[in-house]
Amino acid sequence: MKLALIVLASLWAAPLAQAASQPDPAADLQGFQGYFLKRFPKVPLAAYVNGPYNFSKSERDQWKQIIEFPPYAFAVADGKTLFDTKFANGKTYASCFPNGGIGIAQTYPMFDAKTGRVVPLGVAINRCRVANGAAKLSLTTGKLADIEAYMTSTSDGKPIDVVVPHDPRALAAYQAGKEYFYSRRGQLNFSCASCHVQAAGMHLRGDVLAPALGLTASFPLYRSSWGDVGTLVRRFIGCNKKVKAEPEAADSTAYRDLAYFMTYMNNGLPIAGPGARP
Amino acid sequence: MKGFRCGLVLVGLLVPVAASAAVASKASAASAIAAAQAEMKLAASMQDQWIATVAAMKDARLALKQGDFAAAETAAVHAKALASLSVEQAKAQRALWVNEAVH
Ligand code: HEC
Repeated sequence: MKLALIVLASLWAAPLAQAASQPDPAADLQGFQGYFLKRFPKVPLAAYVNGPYNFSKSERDQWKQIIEFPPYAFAVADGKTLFDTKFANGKTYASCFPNGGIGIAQTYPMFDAKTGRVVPLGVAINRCRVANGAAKLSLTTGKLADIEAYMTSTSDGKPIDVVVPHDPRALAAYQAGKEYFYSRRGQLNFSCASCHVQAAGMHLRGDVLAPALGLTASFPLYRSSWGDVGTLVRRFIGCNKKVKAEPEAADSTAYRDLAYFMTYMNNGLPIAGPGARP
Repeated sequence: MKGFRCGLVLVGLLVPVAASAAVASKASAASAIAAAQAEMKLAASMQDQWIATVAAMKDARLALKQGDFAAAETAAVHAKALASLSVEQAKAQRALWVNEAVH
Protein backbone atom coordinates (compact mmCIF):
# COMPACT_ATOMS: atom_id res chain seq x y z
CA MET A 1 0.00 0.00 0.00
CA LYS A 2 2.74 2.39 1.08
CA LEU A 3 4.87 1.38 -1.88
CA ALA A 4 1.97 1.89 -4.23
CA LEU A 5 1.46 5.39 -2.88
CA ILE A 6 5.11 6.26 -3.34
CA VAL A 7 5.09 4.95 -6.89
CA LEU A 8 1.91 6.86 -7.62
CA ALA A 9 3.32 10.01 -6.09
CA SER A 10 6.49 9.80 -8.13
CA LEU A 11 4.55 9.16 -11.31
CA TRP A 12 2.57 12.26 -10.63
CA ALA A 13 5.58 14.33 -9.65
CA ALA A 14 7.76 13.42 -12.62
CA PRO A 15 5.69 15.01 -15.41
CA LEU A 16 5.17 18.08 -13.27
CA ALA A 17 8.89 18.61 -12.79
CA GLN A 18 9.40 18.12 -16.50
CA ALA A 19 6.68 20.61 -17.33
CA ALA A 20 8.45 23.21 -15.23
CA SER A 21 11.76 22.80 -17.04
CA GLN A 22 10.41 22.36 -20.58
CA PRO A 23 10.07 25.68 -22.39
CA ASP A 24 6.41 26.37 -23.14
CA PRO A 25 6.27 29.54 -25.27
CA ALA A 26 2.49 29.48 -25.72
CA ALA A 27 1.86 29.33 -21.97
CA ASP A 28 4.49 32.04 -21.37
CA LEU A 29 2.76 34.26 -23.92
CA GLN A 30 -0.59 33.98 -22.16
CA GLY A 31 0.92 34.63 -18.76
CA PHE A 32 3.02 37.56 -20.02
CA GLN A 33 0.22 39.41 -21.79
CA GLY A 34 -2.22 38.58 -18.98
CA TYR A 35 0.17 40.08 -16.42
CA PHE A 36 0.17 43.50 -18.11
CA LEU A 37 -3.54 43.51 -18.93
CA LYS A 38 -4.30 42.84 -15.30
CA ARG A 39 -1.79 45.38 -14.01
CA PHE A 40 -2.89 48.20 -16.34
CA PRO A 41 -6.59 47.46 -16.91
CA LYS A 42 -7.13 50.77 -18.74
CA VAL A 43 -4.57 50.05 -21.44
CA PRO A 44 -5.97 47.88 -24.26
CA LEU A 45 -3.66 45.20 -25.67
CA ALA A 46 -3.01 46.86 -29.03
CA ALA A 47 -2.08 50.17 -27.37
CA TYR A 48 1.08 48.62 -25.91
CA VAL A 49 2.81 49.11 -29.24
CA ASN A 50 2.94 52.80 -28.37
CA GLY A 51 5.27 52.11 -25.48
CA PRO A 52 5.71 55.00 -23.08
CA TYR A 53 2.87 57.07 -24.57
CA ASN A 54 0.20 55.23 -22.62
CA PHE A 55 1.74 56.41 -19.39
CA SER A 56 2.69 60.02 -19.89
CA LYS A 57 0.54 62.80 -21.28
CA SER A 58 3.49 65.07 -21.98
CA GLU A 59 5.25 62.38 -24.00
CA ARG A 60 1.99 61.65 -25.83
CA ASP A 61 1.63 65.30 -26.76
CA GLN A 62 5.25 65.44 -27.94
CA TRP A 63 4.64 62.33 -29.98
CA LYS A 64 1.56 63.77 -31.67
CA GLN A 65 3.67 66.72 -32.74
CA ILE A 66 6.45 64.49 -33.98
CA ILE A 67 4.24 62.29 -36.14
CA GLU A 68 2.62 65.21 -37.89
CA PHE A 69 5.78 65.21 -39.97
CA PRO A 70 7.06 61.71 -39.33
CA PRO A 71 10.85 61.91 -38.97
CA TYR A 72 11.18 58.35 -40.24
CA ALA A 73 9.57 59.23 -43.58
CA PHE A 74 12.99 59.91 -45.12
CA ALA A 75 14.32 56.60 -43.85
CA VAL A 76 11.36 54.75 -45.39
CA ALA A 77 11.85 56.53 -48.73
CA ASP A 78 15.61 55.90 -48.72
CA GLY A 79 14.97 52.32 -47.66
CA LYS A 80 12.61 51.73 -50.57
CA THR A 81 15.18 53.08 -53.03
CA LEU A 82 17.85 50.79 -51.58
CA PHE A 83 15.44 47.87 -51.51
CA ASP A 84 14.63 48.30 -55.21
CA THR A 85 18.24 48.85 -56.29
CA LYS A 86 19.77 45.89 -58.09
CA PHE A 87 22.88 44.13 -56.81
CA ALA A 88 25.84 43.80 -59.22
CA ASN A 89 24.42 40.43 -60.32
CA GLY A 90 21.12 42.01 -61.35
CA LYS A 91 19.04 40.57 -58.50
CA THR A 92 17.23 42.61 -55.83
CA TYR A 93 16.38 42.11 -52.16
CA ALA A 94 12.95 40.91 -53.23
CA SER A 95 14.53 37.69 -54.53
CA CYS A 96 15.64 36.72 -51.01
CA PHE A 97 12.29 36.92 -49.25
CA PRO A 98 8.89 35.31 -49.42
CA ASN A 99 6.31 37.55 -51.15
CA GLY A 100 9.16 39.67 -52.49
CA GLY A 101 9.81 40.99 -48.98
CA ILE A 102 6.53 42.91 -48.82
CA GLY A 103 4.32 42.56 -45.73
CA ILE A 104 6.47 39.93 -44.04
CA ALA A 105 8.30 41.84 -41.27
CA GLN A 106 5.81 40.61 -38.65
CA THR A 107 7.17 37.05 -39.02
CA TYR A 108 10.69 38.02 -37.87
CA PRO A 109 12.80 36.98 -35.97
CA MET A 110 12.48 33.63 -37.69
CA PHE A 111 14.04 30.32 -36.72
CA ASP A 112 16.22 28.95 -39.51
CA ALA A 113 16.21 25.14 -39.41
CA LYS A 114 19.23 24.98 -41.75
CA THR A 115 21.62 26.80 -39.44
CA GLY A 116 19.69 26.13 -36.20
CA ARG A 117 19.84 29.84 -35.41
CA VAL A 118 17.42 32.71 -34.99
CA VAL A 119 17.40 35.19 -37.88
CA PRO A 120 16.12 38.70 -37.13
CA LEU A 121 15.10 40.84 -40.12
CA GLY A 122 18.39 42.77 -40.07
CA VAL A 123 20.41 39.57 -40.24
CA ALA A 124 18.18 38.32 -43.09
CA ILE A 125 18.90 41.55 -45.01
CA ASN A 126 22.64 41.04 -44.53
CA ARG A 127 22.37 37.41 -45.58
CA CYS A 128 20.65 38.55 -48.76
CA ARG A 129 23.48 40.98 -49.43
CA VAL A 130 26.18 38.37 -48.90
CA ALA A 131 24.31 35.85 -51.08
CA ASN A 132 24.36 38.45 -53.84
CA GLY A 133 27.99 39.43 -53.50
CA ALA A 134 27.50 42.60 -51.44
CA ALA A 135 29.18 43.40 -48.10
CA LYS A 136 27.30 43.24 -44.78
CA LEU A 137 25.93 46.48 -43.36
CA SER A 138 25.91 47.70 -39.76
CA LEU A 139 23.01 46.11 -37.89
CA THR A 140 22.33 49.17 -35.75
CA THR A 141 21.75 52.19 -37.96
CA GLY A 142 22.21 53.67 -41.44
CA LYS A 143 21.30 51.90 -44.67
CA LEU A 144 20.24 48.64 -43.08
CA ALA A 145 17.95 50.45 -40.63
CA ASP A 146 16.44 52.31 -43.62
CA ILE A 147 15.79 49.07 -45.52
CA GLU A 148 14.27 47.60 -42.37
CA ALA A 149 12.12 50.73 -41.95
CA TYR A 150 10.78 50.33 -45.48
CA MET A 151 10.11 46.60 -45.13
CA THR A 152 8.43 47.16 -41.74
CA SER A 153 6.25 49.93 -43.16
CA THR A 154 4.76 47.38 -45.58
CA SER A 155 3.68 45.32 -42.55
CA ASP A 156 2.14 48.22 -40.64
CA GLY A 157 -0.87 47.03 -38.65
CA LYS A 158 -0.30 43.34 -39.30
CA PRO A 159 -0.37 41.18 -36.18
CA ILE A 160 3.07 40.07 -35.03
CA ASP A 161 3.39 36.38 -35.82
CA VAL A 162 6.66 34.91 -34.60
CA VAL A 163 6.82 31.12 -34.65
CA VAL A 164 8.77 28.89 -32.26
CA PRO A 165 8.63 25.55 -34.06
CA HIS A 166 8.77 22.18 -32.27
CA ASP A 167 12.48 21.94 -32.80
CA PRO A 168 14.65 21.53 -29.71
CA ARG A 169 17.11 24.12 -31.07
CA ALA A 170 14.33 26.69 -31.54
CA LEU A 171 13.01 26.01 -28.05
CA ALA A 172 16.54 26.32 -26.64
CA ALA A 173 17.02 29.67 -28.42
CA TYR A 174 13.69 30.91 -27.09
CA GLN A 175 14.61 29.81 -23.57
CA ALA A 176 18.05 31.44 -23.80
CA GLY A 177 16.41 34.72 -24.83
CA LYS A 178 13.99 34.47 -21.94
CA GLU A 179 16.83 33.83 -19.49
CA TYR A 180 18.79 36.80 -20.89
CA PHE A 181 15.76 39.05 -20.47
CA TYR A 182 15.19 38.13 -16.84
CA SER A 183 18.82 37.84 -15.67
CA ARG A 184 20.35 40.68 -13.73
CA ARG A 185 23.66 41.87 -15.07
CA GLY A 186 26.05 44.81 -15.08
CA GLN A 187 27.48 46.62 -12.12
CA LEU A 188 24.03 48.06 -11.33
CA ASN A 189 22.57 44.55 -11.08
CA PHE A 190 19.46 45.15 -13.20
CA SER A 191 17.67 42.82 -15.61
CA CYS A 192 15.65 44.02 -18.58
CA ALA A 193 12.63 43.04 -16.49
CA SER A 194 13.76 45.23 -13.56
CA CYS A 195 12.99 48.29 -15.68
CA HIS A 196 10.52 47.11 -18.32
CA VAL A 197 8.38 44.79 -16.13
CA GLN A 198 8.74 45.71 -12.45
CA ALA A 199 9.15 49.46 -13.06
CA ALA A 200 7.02 49.67 -16.24
CA GLY A 201 5.11 52.94 -16.51
CA MET A 202 7.30 54.63 -13.91
CA HIS A 203 9.73 57.46 -14.50
CA LEU A 204 13.47 57.07 -14.79
CA ARG A 205 15.07 60.51 -14.97
CA GLY A 206 13.30 62.13 -17.94
CA ASP A 207 11.93 58.89 -19.41
CA VAL A 208 8.82 56.86 -18.83
CA LEU A 209 9.78 53.19 -18.80
CA ALA A 210 7.94 51.37 -21.58
CA PRO A 211 6.40 48.05 -20.56
CA ALA A 212 8.03 44.92 -21.99
CA LEU A 213 4.75 44.13 -23.74
CA GLY A 214 4.86 45.88 -27.10
CA LEU A 215 8.50 46.87 -26.66
CA THR A 216 9.64 45.56 -30.07
CA ALA A 217 6.60 46.53 -32.16
CA SER A 218 7.73 49.98 -33.32
CA PHE A 219 11.22 49.08 -34.47
CA PRO A 220 13.12 50.32 -36.26
CA LEU A 221 12.36 53.73 -34.79
CA TYR A 222 13.42 57.34 -34.88
CA ARG A 223 14.60 58.75 -31.58
CA SER A 224 15.15 62.45 -31.17
CA SER A 225 18.19 61.72 -29.00
CA TRP A 226 19.67 59.55 -31.77
CA GLY A 227 18.75 62.00 -34.50
CA ASP A 228 18.07 59.11 -36.89
CA VAL A 229 16.45 55.72 -37.18
CA GLY A 230 17.90 52.85 -35.17
CA THR A 231 17.20 49.14 -34.93
CA LEU A 232 16.18 47.02 -31.96
CA VAL A 233 19.80 45.90 -31.58
CA ARG A 234 20.87 49.53 -31.19
CA ARG A 235 18.44 49.79 -28.29
CA PHE A 236 19.73 46.55 -26.72
CA ILE A 237 23.24 48.04 -26.80
CA GLY A 238 22.01 51.26 -25.15
CA CYS A 239 20.07 49.46 -22.43
CA ASN A 240 23.00 47.13 -21.62
CA LYS A 241 25.19 50.20 -21.13
CA LYS A 242 22.59 51.78 -18.84
CA VAL A 243 23.29 49.07 -16.26
CA LYS A 244 27.08 49.36 -16.75
CA ALA A 245 27.32 46.12 -18.69
CA GLU A 246 29.32 45.71 -21.89
CA PRO A 247 26.95 45.22 -24.80
CA GLU A 248 27.01 41.99 -26.82
CA ALA A 249 28.06 42.02 -30.46
CA ALA A 250 25.23 43.29 -32.69
CA ASP A 251 25.16 39.96 -34.52
CA SER A 252 25.53 37.81 -31.37
CA THR A 253 23.44 34.76 -30.62
CA ALA A 254 22.51 36.42 -27.31
CA TYR A 255 20.84 39.39 -29.04
CA ARG A 256 19.19 37.18 -31.67
CA ASP A 257 17.69 34.97 -28.97
CA LEU A 258 16.67 37.99 -26.88
CA ALA A 259 14.84 39.52 -29.85
CA TYR A 260 13.19 36.14 -30.50
CA PHE A 261 11.79 35.89 -26.97
CA MET A 262 10.76 39.54 -26.74
CA THR A 263 9.03 39.63 -30.12
CA TYR A 264 7.29 36.33 -29.48
CA MET A 265 5.83 37.86 -26.31
CA ASN A 266 4.26 40.51 -28.59
CA ASN A 267 2.51 38.00 -30.83
CA GLY A 268 -0.92 39.26 -31.84
CA LEU A 269 -0.07 42.94 -31.33
CA PRO A 270 -0.03 45.03 -34.50
CA ILE A 271 3.24 46.12 -36.09
CA ALA A 272 3.57 49.86 -35.49
CA GLY A 273 6.88 50.45 -37.19
CA PRO A 274 8.74 52.37 -38.06
CA GLY A 275 8.03 54.40 -34.94
CA ALA A 276 9.11 57.65 -33.37
CA ARG A 277 10.09 58.49 -29.82
CA PRO A 278 10.98 61.84 -28.26
CA MET B 1 63.06 56.49 22.03
CA LYS B 2 60.33 58.70 20.72
CA GLY B 3 62.26 59.23 17.51
CA PHE B 4 62.78 55.48 17.14
CA ARG B 5 59.07 54.84 17.36
CA CYS B 6 58.40 57.50 14.82
CA GLY B 7 60.93 55.91 12.53
CA LEU B 8 59.24 52.53 12.90
CA VAL B 9 55.90 53.94 11.95
CA LEU B 10 57.47 55.60 8.97
CA VAL B 11 59.13 52.39 7.87
CA GLY B 12 55.84 50.57 8.39
CA LEU B 13 54.11 53.00 6.09
CA LEU B 14 56.80 52.83 3.48
CA VAL B 15 57.19 49.07 3.35
CA PRO B 16 54.02 48.16 1.41
CA VAL B 17 54.63 50.87 -1.14
CA ALA B 18 58.29 50.00 -1.50
CA ALA B 19 57.47 46.28 -1.63
CA SER B 20 54.92 46.57 -4.42
CA ALA B 21 57.16 48.91 -6.35
CA ALA B 22 60.04 46.51 -5.95
CA VAL B 23 57.96 43.42 -6.76
CA ALA B 24 56.15 44.73 -9.85
CA SER B 25 58.14 43.91 -12.93
CA LYS B 26 57.25 43.67 -16.55
CA ALA B 27 56.76 39.94 -16.06
CA SER B 28 54.58 40.24 -12.97
CA ALA B 29 52.43 42.93 -14.58
CA ALA B 30 52.06 40.80 -17.69
CA SER B 31 51.03 37.79 -15.65
CA ALA B 32 48.48 39.86 -13.68
CA ILE B 33 47.06 41.02 -17.00
CA ALA B 34 46.91 37.45 -18.28
CA ALA B 35 45.08 36.32 -15.15
CA ALA B 36 42.59 39.16 -15.47
CA GLN B 37 42.11 38.37 -19.13
CA ALA B 38 41.22 34.75 -18.35
CA GLU B 39 38.63 35.83 -15.80
CA MET B 40 37.22 38.38 -18.25
CA LYS B 41 36.88 35.71 -20.89
CA LEU B 42 34.79 33.69 -18.46
CA ALA B 43 32.62 36.73 -17.63
CA ALA B 44 32.03 37.44 -21.32
CA SER B 45 31.09 33.83 -21.97
CA MET B 46 28.46 34.21 -19.26
CA GLN B 47 27.21 37.38 -21.00
CA ASP B 48 28.06 39.61 -18.08
CA GLN B 49 31.13 41.76 -18.64
CA TRP B 50 31.11 45.01 -16.73
CA ILE B 51 32.14 48.25 -18.38
CA ALA B 52 34.38 49.05 -15.39
CA THR B 53 36.25 45.77 -15.91
CA VAL B 54 37.09 46.64 -19.49
CA ALA B 55 38.14 50.15 -18.42
CA ALA B 56 40.48 48.78 -15.72
CA MET B 57 42.02 46.39 -18.24
CA LYS B 58 42.56 49.26 -20.65
CA ASP B 59 44.35 51.18 -17.89
CA ALA B 60 46.52 48.13 -17.16
CA ARG B 61 47.56 47.73 -20.79
CA LEU B 62 48.31 51.41 -21.18
CA ALA B 63 50.44 51.46 -18.01
CA LEU B 64 52.32 48.36 -19.20
CA LYS B 65 53.03 50.03 -22.50
CA GLN B 66 54.31 53.12 -20.69
CA GLY B 67 56.56 50.99 -18.50
CA ASP B 68 54.69 51.72 -15.26
CA PHE B 69 54.58 48.11 -14.11
CA ALA B 70 53.26 48.84 -10.61
CA ALA B 71 50.29 50.76 -12.01
CA ALA B 72 49.75 48.05 -14.62
CA GLU B 73 49.69 45.34 -11.99
CA THR B 74 47.36 47.28 -9.69
CA ALA B 75 44.89 47.95 -12.51
CA ALA B 76 45.04 44.32 -13.68
CA VAL B 77 44.32 43.04 -10.18
CA HIS B 78 41.39 45.44 -10.05
CA ALA B 79 40.09 44.22 -13.42
CA LYS B 80 40.31 40.62 -12.27
CA ALA B 81 38.42 41.38 -9.06
CA LEU B 82 35.64 43.11 -11.00
CA ALA B 83 35.47 40.25 -13.50
CA SER B 84 35.18 37.76 -10.63
CA LEU B 85 32.29 39.72 -9.17
CA SER B 86 30.42 39.65 -12.47
CA VAL B 87 31.09 35.92 -12.80
CA GLU B 88 29.60 35.42 -9.33
CA GLN B 89 26.61 37.52 -10.34
CA ALA B 90 26.07 35.53 -13.52
CA LYS B 91 26.40 32.20 -11.69
CA ALA B 92 23.83 33.27 -9.10
CA GLN B 93 21.45 34.51 -11.82
CA ARG B 94 21.43 31.08 -13.47
CA ALA B 95 19.17 30.01 -10.62
CA LEU B 96 17.65 33.33 -9.59
CA TRP B 97 16.34 34.67 -12.93
CA VAL B 98 13.21 32.54 -12.73
CA ASN B 99 12.07 34.60 -9.74
CA GLU B 100 11.72 37.64 -12.00
CA ALA B 101 9.91 35.82 -14.79
CA VAL B 102 6.28 36.75 -15.45
CA HIS B 103 4.09 33.69 -15.94
C1 HEC C 1 17.85 50.96 -15.87
C2 HEC C 1 16.60 50.71 -16.51
C3 HEC C 1 16.63 49.92 -17.81
C4 HEC C 1 17.05 48.64 -17.99
C5 HEC C 1 17.66 47.71 -16.97
C6 HEC C 1 16.76 48.32 -19.37
N1 HEC C 1 16.19 49.38 -20.00
FE1 HEC C 1 15.40 49.40 -21.86
N2 HEC C 1 14.90 51.34 -21.65
C7 HEC C 1 15.13 52.11 -20.52
C8 HEC C 1 14.74 53.49 -20.79
C9 HEC C 1 14.84 54.64 -19.81
C10 HEC C 1 14.24 53.52 -22.12
C11 HEC C 1 13.70 54.73 -22.88
C12 HEC C 1 12.31 55.00 -22.47
C13 HEC C 1 11.41 53.91 -22.92
O1 HEC C 1 11.05 53.93 -24.08
O2 HEC C 1 11.12 53.02 -22.11
C14 HEC C 1 14.33 52.14 -22.61
C15 HEC C 1 13.88 51.74 -23.85
C16 HEC C 1 13.95 50.46 -24.33
C17 HEC C 1 13.41 50.02 -25.60
C18 HEC C 1 12.68 50.92 -26.60
C19 HEC C 1 11.25 51.11 -26.21
C20 HEC C 1 10.53 52.13 -27.01
O3 HEC C 1 9.29 51.98 -27.15
O4 HEC C 1 11.16 53.07 -27.47
C21 HEC C 1 13.68 48.70 -25.72
C22 HEC C 1 13.34 47.79 -26.88
C23 HEC C 1 14.42 48.29 -24.53
N3 HEC C 1 14.55 49.37 -23.71
C24 HEC C 1 14.90 47.03 -24.29
C25 HEC C 1 15.63 46.66 -23.15
C26 HEC C 1 16.26 45.38 -22.97
C27 HEC C 1 16.21 44.23 -23.96
C28 HEC C 1 16.88 45.40 -21.76
C29 HEC C 1 17.74 44.33 -21.13
C30 HEC C 1 18.93 43.99 -21.85
C31 HEC C 1 16.62 46.71 -21.18
N4 HEC C 1 15.87 47.46 -22.06
C32 HEC C 1 17.03 47.10 -19.92
C33 HEC C 1 15.63 51.67 -19.34
C34 HEC C 1 16.10 50.39 -19.09
